[in-house]
Amino acid sequence: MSMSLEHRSSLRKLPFPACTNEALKRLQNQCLTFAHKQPSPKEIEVVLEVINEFVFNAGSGKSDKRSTPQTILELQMLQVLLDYFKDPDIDPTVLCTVFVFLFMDPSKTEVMAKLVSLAMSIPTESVLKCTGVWMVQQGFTSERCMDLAHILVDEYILVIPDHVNTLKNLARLCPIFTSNLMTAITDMYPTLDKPPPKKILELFVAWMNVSSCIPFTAANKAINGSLPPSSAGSQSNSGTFTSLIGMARWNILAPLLDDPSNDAIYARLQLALLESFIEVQSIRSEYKPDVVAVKKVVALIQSLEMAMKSCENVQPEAKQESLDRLGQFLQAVSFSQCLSGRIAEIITTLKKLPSNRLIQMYVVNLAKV
Amino acid sequence: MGVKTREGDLSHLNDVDYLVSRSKELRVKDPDRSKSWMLTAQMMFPKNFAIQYEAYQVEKTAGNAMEAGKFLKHLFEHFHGSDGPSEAVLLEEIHQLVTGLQNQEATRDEPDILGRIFEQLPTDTRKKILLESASKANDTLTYAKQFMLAFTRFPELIPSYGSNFLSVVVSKCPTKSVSVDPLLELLVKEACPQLLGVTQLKIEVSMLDDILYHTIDYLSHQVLAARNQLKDGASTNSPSDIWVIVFGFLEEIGQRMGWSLTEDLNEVLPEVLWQRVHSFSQQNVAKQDSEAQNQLFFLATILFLRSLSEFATDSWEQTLEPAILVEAFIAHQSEETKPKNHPKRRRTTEDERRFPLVTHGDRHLSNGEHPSVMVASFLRAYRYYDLIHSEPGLNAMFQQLRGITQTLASFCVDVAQYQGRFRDALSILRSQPTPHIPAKICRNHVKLATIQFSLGEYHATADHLIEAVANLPPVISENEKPNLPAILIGSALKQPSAVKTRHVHFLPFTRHHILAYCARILIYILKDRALQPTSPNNDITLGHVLVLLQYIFPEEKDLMLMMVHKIKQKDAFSYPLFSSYIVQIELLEEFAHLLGDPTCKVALDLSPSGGLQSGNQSQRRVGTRGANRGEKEEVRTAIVKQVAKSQEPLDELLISFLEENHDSILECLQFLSSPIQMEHMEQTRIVCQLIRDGSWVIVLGRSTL
Repeated sequence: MSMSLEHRSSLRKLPFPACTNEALKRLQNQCLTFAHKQPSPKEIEVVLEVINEFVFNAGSGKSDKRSTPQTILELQMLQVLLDYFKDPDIDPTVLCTVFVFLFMDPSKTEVMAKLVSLAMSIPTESVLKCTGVWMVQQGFTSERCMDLAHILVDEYILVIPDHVNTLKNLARLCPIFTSNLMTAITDMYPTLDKPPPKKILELFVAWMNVSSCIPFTAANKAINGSLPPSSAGSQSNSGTFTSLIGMARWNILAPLLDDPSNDAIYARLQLALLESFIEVQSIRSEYKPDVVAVKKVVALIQSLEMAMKSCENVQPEAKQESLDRLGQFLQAVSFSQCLSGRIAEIITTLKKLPSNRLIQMYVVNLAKV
Repeated sequence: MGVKTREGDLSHLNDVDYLVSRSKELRVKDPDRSKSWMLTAQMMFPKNFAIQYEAYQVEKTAGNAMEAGKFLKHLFEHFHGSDGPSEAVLLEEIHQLVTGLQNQEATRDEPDILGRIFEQLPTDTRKKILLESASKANDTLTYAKQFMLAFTRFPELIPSYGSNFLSVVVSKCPTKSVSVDPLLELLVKEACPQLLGVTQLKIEVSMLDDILYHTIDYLSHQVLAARNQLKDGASTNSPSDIWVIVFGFLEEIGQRMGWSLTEDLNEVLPEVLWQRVHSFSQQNVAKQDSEAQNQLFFLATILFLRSLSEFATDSWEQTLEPAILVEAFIAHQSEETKPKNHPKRRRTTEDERRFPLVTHGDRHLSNGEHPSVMVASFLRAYRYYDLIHSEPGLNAMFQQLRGITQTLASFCVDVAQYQGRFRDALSILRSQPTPHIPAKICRNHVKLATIQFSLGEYHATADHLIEAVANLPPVISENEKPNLPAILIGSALKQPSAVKTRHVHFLPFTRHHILAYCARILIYILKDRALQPTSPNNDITLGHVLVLLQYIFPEEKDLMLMMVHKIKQKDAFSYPLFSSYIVQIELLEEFAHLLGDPTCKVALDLSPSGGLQSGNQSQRRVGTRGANRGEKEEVRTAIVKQVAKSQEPLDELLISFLEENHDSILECLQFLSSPIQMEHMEQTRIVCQLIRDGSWVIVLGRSTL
């Protein structure tokens, strides 16, 4: 039987990386007990101290290892963590709990981003899955989640060469991580002032071509049912968080941008988005009924209205293209029965937009239903 | 402003057309946006056929089989079965698809876009589409082909749909067709092999009977077709394949019927099969069991047709026409020459006496060669034919068969000839349409000649033989050996036998063989006349026989010497054709001896002038009769001149001799010597057989009677 976390002296006798491995093993055992009873603040404190000493700062205090640079030590530590998470014999729920404890301290976001980048490039499913669950628990709009997304985008996705081929299969390997990352990324680029980089658009298209339903993962009954129970509590805040509205906003606002260089990729993303709704409609029962909240659609329409007002010099064709894309998106949402809320609010909001035949058709059809 | 123009252009359109137009205008320039419009249209009007069909077409044109497959499935499930224009459009698409699959099946090509779309469909949809297309087919052949396509791809459909399919095809198969009907071919070559082995498929006995009758109909066409294929040299489908196929499903039918004769048909040797059928017929002949009779009839008939087909194939031998069954000769084997204390030899059975010896080609039975394959297949076909015809019940059923007469005509002539029913043979042969191709004309004359010969009608025999030679095609066979010693060719026409009274022979259809046969028969029928000093054209006949004997030399050398001896005994001998046709060195030597022999008193007139006509008028020119030495020298010079020609090819000499002396040869046979002429025809035959049986002594004795 492994020693408890309190016996730190036994850990201190071990050299790096044996001490880290042993610490992780003890942490894991501790987490097993947390499955039966809530941890006390004292217990949590001990856990965090051990993590700090034997995971993140292991080796740095040893006198004989002084010559080893800090970056190398960090790399070795990440390798130990990655190997630990690869162990197929450890229960995924326990792994998730370990992951949560490891990165509970907000100062650890940066090192977490390094681990996740490594897991994205190698790819390591268990780490990505834990990250996905962690993002749900944190909430997509939370500061830490946004921080993580920012670091992953700026220091990894936008930097690596051939990012599409390196990353596109993540959509199949770990949908929960990919879709949560997509949601976080759409929140990173909410307005015309800060459009998404082309590399991000390309990656989104690639992910949706690999797995058409990827943006709907958070609404998938089976995937959510299989999540560790610890994450279930924080699911029910307000509807489902997906990247759908965010992507739609990109596509709809894109024609108003004074930059035609990404037109083709936006058109492709719009098509992929419509296709994903059709795909979901054909297997509708596998998904929760409330995927897209009416109030978010209303907000989307309002943001278009605002953008149009602020870009008076934009060509009427471009505005019509924006409206056409909005109409296409609305039709897709309705067709796939993904709306939840008072539909009349949508019709009211649409009246404030310039006239567009497709939107008129949509409104007429909606009224019939 | 631009927007207004565009909207203005499309504003008159209804909603559906507006959406489709938006998609179409972008199709080439911006496929992604075009497709987004298409998807929007589909989502907005999911029940609109035009939009769904358009979406399908877009994907199909773009070569996206998977996407197109989804749309086609949707179309087929939601719009199929409704009345109206959409149904017609959909059925046309399905028709195109299934036709494409059929071609793909036939050519083994890579599937086209429709084929790839088809592969994307769920199994259930694929089955439904194939069945739907087949049941909507306009004609039975298409119906049958498409059902077979469905059965091939999804054998599990056979138990539910096979029975109805068979009854439709069987009822629509033509009962009388001149050539092989494609529906009949499909039934026998594809449907039966694939369906009859499926045990879950229930088939009525009457249906199985119908299938067997159709199979026999097809096979009798196949026997004819096999010949034509061989003749064209383009045999795509080896004729033996069809028998493997037919025997395969015959076993299945046999199992369904509870038959014993059909077990392991493809494994058992033909000879063993015959034994099986033969003993079955002997066990059941008296029982009046209609089920047994049915079994016997179908099996015997199909096995008969197979033997006949093998015989037809074997007899072709890469020649223009198959080998011809002709009447040939027996060399009498006297008691002394027969091997003594032969242990196996018992009393000769009646059958052994009754049926002639059968040989083929250049084979000599005495040399211990294996019997010819062709003879074996002929005799096997004959046995089945005889079995069927000797049972009144079977015979009655056989006569009911459609279209078999055409197949059998030529074989029936051979059978009648084999059985010695020459009058029947002649009447069947005469009932056949007159041929127009030289090779066929030639063959027909040889056949008529050999039958007339058997009937003792020598005048007609000679006439047909000369006609046959006149129609001899210049090149008959690729494997014709140009300089084969004449002695080898046709020597098999005479076979030794102590038991048999007749010998029939399959004469290969080559120039050499036909000429060799003609020469022998003409020698045979002319020599009687030649040896009768009283016959009117005796000199000419003698001369003709000598010309013919040169061709087969040294066979019948004794006869040649006897002829020369006959001349020697004469007072005078005139043969104006001498310088044209007598070139054989030993014969010329004999003539030279005549001149030098002081005991010989014959006056020879061998000069060409005067011709045959004047020769017949006994207006002879001066020859060696009472001649002085100078005239004798002249004849000697003529003989020496002939020696120079002795190396000339005999084929051409024989052909020109026969062609130029047609009338003269017939004239020799015109005035039969009284004893034979007076005799009744039947008696003539007996005499002929006697002669053929005996040695020359007997012949001489007969002619001096």
